[in-house]
Amino acid sequence: MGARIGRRTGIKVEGEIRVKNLENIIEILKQSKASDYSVLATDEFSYELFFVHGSLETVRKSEHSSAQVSVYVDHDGKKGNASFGLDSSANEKEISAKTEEAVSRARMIYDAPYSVVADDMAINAEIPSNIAGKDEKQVGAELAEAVSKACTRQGCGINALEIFVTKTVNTVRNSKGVNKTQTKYSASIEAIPTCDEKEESVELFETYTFGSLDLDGITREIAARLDDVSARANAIKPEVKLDCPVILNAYELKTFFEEIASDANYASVYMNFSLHKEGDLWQTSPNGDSLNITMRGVIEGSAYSNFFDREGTSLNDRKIIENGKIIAGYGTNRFAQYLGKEPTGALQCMDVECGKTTVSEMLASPHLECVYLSGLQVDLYNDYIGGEIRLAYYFDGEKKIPVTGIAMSGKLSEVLNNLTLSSESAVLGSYRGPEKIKISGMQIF
Amino acid sequence: MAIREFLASRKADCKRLVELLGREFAYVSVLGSDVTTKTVVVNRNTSRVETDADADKGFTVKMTDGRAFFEYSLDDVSGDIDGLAAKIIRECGVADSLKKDMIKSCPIADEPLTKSFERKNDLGDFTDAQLLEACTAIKDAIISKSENVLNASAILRTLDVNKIFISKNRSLEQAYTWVNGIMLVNYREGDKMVGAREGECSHLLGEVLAGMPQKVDKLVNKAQKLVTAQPIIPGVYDVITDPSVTGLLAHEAFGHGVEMDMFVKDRALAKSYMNRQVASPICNMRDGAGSTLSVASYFFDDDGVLAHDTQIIKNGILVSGISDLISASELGTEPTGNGRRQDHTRKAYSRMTNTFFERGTDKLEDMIASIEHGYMIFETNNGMEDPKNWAIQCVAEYGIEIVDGKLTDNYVSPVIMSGYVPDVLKSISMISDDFVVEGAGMCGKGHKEWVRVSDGGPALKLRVKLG
Repeated sequence: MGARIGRRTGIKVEGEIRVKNLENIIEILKQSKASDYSVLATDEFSYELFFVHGSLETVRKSEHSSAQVSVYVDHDGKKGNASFGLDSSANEKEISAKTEEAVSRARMIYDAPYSVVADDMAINAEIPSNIAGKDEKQVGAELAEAVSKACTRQGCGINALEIFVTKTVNTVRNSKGVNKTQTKYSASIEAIPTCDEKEESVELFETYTFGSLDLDGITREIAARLDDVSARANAIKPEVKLDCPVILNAYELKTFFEEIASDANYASVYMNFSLHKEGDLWQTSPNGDSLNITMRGVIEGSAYSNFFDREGTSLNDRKIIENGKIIAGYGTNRFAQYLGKEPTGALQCMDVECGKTTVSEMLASPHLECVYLSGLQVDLYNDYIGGEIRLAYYFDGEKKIPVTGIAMSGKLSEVLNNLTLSSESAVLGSYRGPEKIKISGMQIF
Repeated sequence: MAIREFLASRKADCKRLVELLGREFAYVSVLGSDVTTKTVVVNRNTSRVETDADADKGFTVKMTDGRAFFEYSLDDVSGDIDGLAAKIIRECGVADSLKKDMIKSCPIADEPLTKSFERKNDLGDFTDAQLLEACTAIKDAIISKSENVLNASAILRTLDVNKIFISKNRSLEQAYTWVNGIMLVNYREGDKMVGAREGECSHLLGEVLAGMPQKVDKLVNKAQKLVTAQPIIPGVYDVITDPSVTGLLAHEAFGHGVEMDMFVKDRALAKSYMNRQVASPICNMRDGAGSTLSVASYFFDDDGVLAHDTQIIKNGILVSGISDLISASELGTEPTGNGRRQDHTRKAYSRMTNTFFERGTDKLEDMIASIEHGYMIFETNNGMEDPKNWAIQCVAEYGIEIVDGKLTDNYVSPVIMSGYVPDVLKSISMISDDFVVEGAGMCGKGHKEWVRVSDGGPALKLRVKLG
């Protein structure tokens, strides 16, 4: 199944109420004194299950429609914009009043001129997903079953589980002909693996969001986390200070690389928030694998995939870091224009090139493999990376020892210069890239 | 009348819906939300005004028959209420495989109460032009302080809450507001770039507008110090927390740790530590929408339970948790008015409101003077709880070194405080006699379900690991 692109004829979503509301909004905007307008209409349907100790505690169903409207007014050689939200219960009188207020507000804004997105290619597409067309209640039950199947280990289990099955339909229309609709399906689970093998019960926290179902994969993932939580029950605080390379897993890598990528965002550059500019090096004296990052609109299986952004810009993939050097930025229409760059749209997915070292090679020498951090802290301005480690495996060259009660910190620049990227890849949320990385120069305390 | 037309006009339909669904379920309630927001942002290059970008307008129907709870969220309740009731019953089903194993909940005490609550506000006293003008003046003032200012932002966020709660025996309505003013600066000296922030909050917009300009000098001075900041040498130190970090500690240590939905799930070690010493005997900690006036000071929660003022730690002893309706019904306890939703489309959980340590008797200068070598740490960045195993991580924006009982000019940033909760709290040896609660925080449950919270308290002296 691929994206379907063609002339839009209307959206069939739970009746036609929303379309009528959207047409009302468009008609009122056309009659207003706005120079331009843009509307993002969103319908979200979700079905949710909440379990406690395996028993169903709450069942939720939610249906929500809303629109975010932006009006633009060209005045005095400048451009002003103001935006407002509308819910599906808004009537014509309310929409007109809010539009009029927004036009007045936009006249008070004196920003540098820019053009709103102009694109007459209509899109009505569905992000490929095997959830599409399935009964939400059945999907919820299948996910519960997939988690339950993993719970075979004596003394360990999932003591709380939340399941969300969601369908989202986004439509962007504007005064320059943009008319794009995409439908997305996603599912999320939040699971608390718990181990009662020892006197003190221990837990981990796991959350997954995906655009397509892989029920066997979920069972495998939960089973692996149950192994980890069992390890936490046996984890010890090291008696001596550890001094070895640190291995980070995909969950932390998402945070790690997102921070680096965000520095190249056009809005950040234009606002003077960015530390680097095009041509600058993230890896100033590389002594490991080269860093290559591409921002993407769509990654297969990711719930963060999109065909276009909230302004209607069709997403164009963009390689932003090549061999450790910033080669391009990425970002939305307005800030791209301000910087004289080509807009890519608001790319949310990130592809990090893998390295040549296999995970088994990486794990063969002494290291500390972080399994569960309270939150990786990456501070670009202070050249810092660190965090509290709640579970890690220390490998001393002979045996693997679960450890806890420690923290780590280091210089981000040194870490980047000494990266080892695994050859195996993982997809997690908006991230696709090395399953693990090995870093050195971290203080463990 | 306290509430706007939208909710007022739906009350009769909500009552009818409760009556119809009440024929099928032992307990039915409807929460109606009409929350409007306005954001004004002015920075060096751009400005914008947004209204209702994060508004919350709609209804949540909650039902139980003594087993599982069912909730249905929708944007409007009007028109064919009989048809809506039938649709809700149809839609809230589950697959056959899940029907056999549901929780058993205690009956909900639906005590009769009809009441309207309102906190006066001044949002209507200021035009958009005045707000833009005020933000522009603040932005210009920040930029004028130094040519090293790369960018400056002045931001105003208003929150205007209307809610109704209807059940068989209760009919409640409330209206209140909150305003956050935020100032940001990006500052560069040589190769070092830093960001710094200052804030002002109140239920009155006028107070925020008056307070922000007075903090411009403090903001820029702080940025000028932060460019000199060095990484901290990891270790265990004597530390003084400012009220912001004190609040973060309260929040992460025994805020999340006593959310009683965690008790139901056996996810909180605190459950087995009730009435036991968990902190230094000089520690007292509270949470409640009724505990102080800040961003989470509602009159009733999203379960229709009136605001409480809950003492969590008394003289170092853990004495109470905080609960929503469902967790209380499962535990057989009284709900404490802590049932909160991110918005009407999300589930209510046990959530914090305004969480803080109570003031002590020490003078801050005496606390600083008592430290031979250590740090005073400032401003919450983020934190992460671990209610089951009592690990804690609190990230402060910066610290200032204390040497021989005096604050030096040596700044460190960032500062990550971590440890084992009882060790950290039992190490508290001095508590200042001042008290600040900041109402600018957002709190997630795990990594989602964001609600507005405040936290704070006095300065604490403790011994803890910094990295």
